[in-house]
Amino acid sequence: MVMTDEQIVARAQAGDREAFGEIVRRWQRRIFALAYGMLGSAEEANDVAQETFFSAYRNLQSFRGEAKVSSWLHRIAVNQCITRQRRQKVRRESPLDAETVLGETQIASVTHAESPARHAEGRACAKDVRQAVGSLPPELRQIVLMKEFEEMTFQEIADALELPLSTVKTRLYTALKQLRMKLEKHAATETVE
Amino acid sequence: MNHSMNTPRDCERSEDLLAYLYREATASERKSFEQHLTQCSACREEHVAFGGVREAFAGWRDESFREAASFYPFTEKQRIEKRSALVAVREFFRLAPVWLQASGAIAALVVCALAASALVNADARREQNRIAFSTSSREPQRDAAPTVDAPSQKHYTQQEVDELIADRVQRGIETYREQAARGSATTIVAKDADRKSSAPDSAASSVSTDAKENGARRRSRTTTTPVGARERQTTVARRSNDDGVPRLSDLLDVVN
Repeated sequence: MVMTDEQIVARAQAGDREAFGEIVRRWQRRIFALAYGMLGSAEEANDVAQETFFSAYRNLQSFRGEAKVSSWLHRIAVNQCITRQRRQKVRRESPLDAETVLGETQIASVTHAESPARHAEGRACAKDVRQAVGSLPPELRQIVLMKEFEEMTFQEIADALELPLSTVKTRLYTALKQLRMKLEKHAATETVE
Repeated sequence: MNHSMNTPRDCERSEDLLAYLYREATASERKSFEQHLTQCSACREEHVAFGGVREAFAGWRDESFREAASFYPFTEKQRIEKRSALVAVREFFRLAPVWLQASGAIAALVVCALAASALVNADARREQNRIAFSTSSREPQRDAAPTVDAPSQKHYTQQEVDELIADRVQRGIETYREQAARGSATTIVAKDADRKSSAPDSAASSVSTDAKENGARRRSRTTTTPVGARERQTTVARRSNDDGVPRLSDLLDVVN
């Protein structure tokens, strides 16, 4: 019988190092994918994955099982990614910088009616999406990642973040609207070029 | 309220739109929102647009997972190795050419037939608190304890074996005596510890102590030839089995 993540973590908390290794084996690819989705660099994604599991191992005793293990790991990984992005921003080396300067005023200038929405979004490549997601405010980006990468339900996100269900939906709705505008803007720029 | 005049910002059903988009609406909510979509152009347009954003997400997510799979090839290999045998067999029959599938199936049938044949011919019996299992080609080595007879095959108890041996020895002795009476000065004395049917020759025979150790059914024999300096004295007790039952061939060698 396959043990659940929570059972394995309980064993790891009791001192079983092999058990935590199983958690790493189960989740390293997803954590890497999440980090790669946010950062766009395999090396950095690998660093984030290692730091995530190292941090999780150090804080193993603080995990009380209130959230799913996957949510716990994803949250650590997202925080690691955000920290890296901030550092990159300070160093002005982040590829997200160019996208980040696209403020809401610029994006708002693109009207819904004139943009070929579906065509533009269909052409958006992974890099565009990554940049667009990276430019979202952290509270919106977190919910997008939990929904699209972790495939959590709204209720699970609400429970994990201790937010009202309606707040989660409102934030995701706002995030989708902003992402739509960013992607349309990008597509329009490409068309002009 | 005219829904068709709604814009995305003032339509109150944005949350329902998300539940519908992510397939988390109940059947009744779904039906209700589908009806709303026919009336609200804003929600309809937004539903299409958000669907496009989700498609873009899918490409982004897939690329990330592809990169992860290439970065952790060992993990991927491990995942493949952990597939169940059933999945592996299914994969074999899905991917292998027809001739290989047929060969595999025939080989499997042959193996099964051989295994079934071996089981049919197998002979399992209980011996001294353990199960002896053998095929028909080999006779199991039996211990001294009485065996539980298989329904289809006659087995001898230890007592029966002892009696058979004693009879055979007795006949050999008598034959030898007859030969000795015809001209030889050789005598032979044999003693049966259990049956005591023949009178022991106290001067020339000795009895082993197996009877004390193993009970009345166990026996040993000492056959002595007093001719000359007893050069043919041979002890055959404890020659073959731990329980002291001599080999019949050894006994016959002695008496002959």
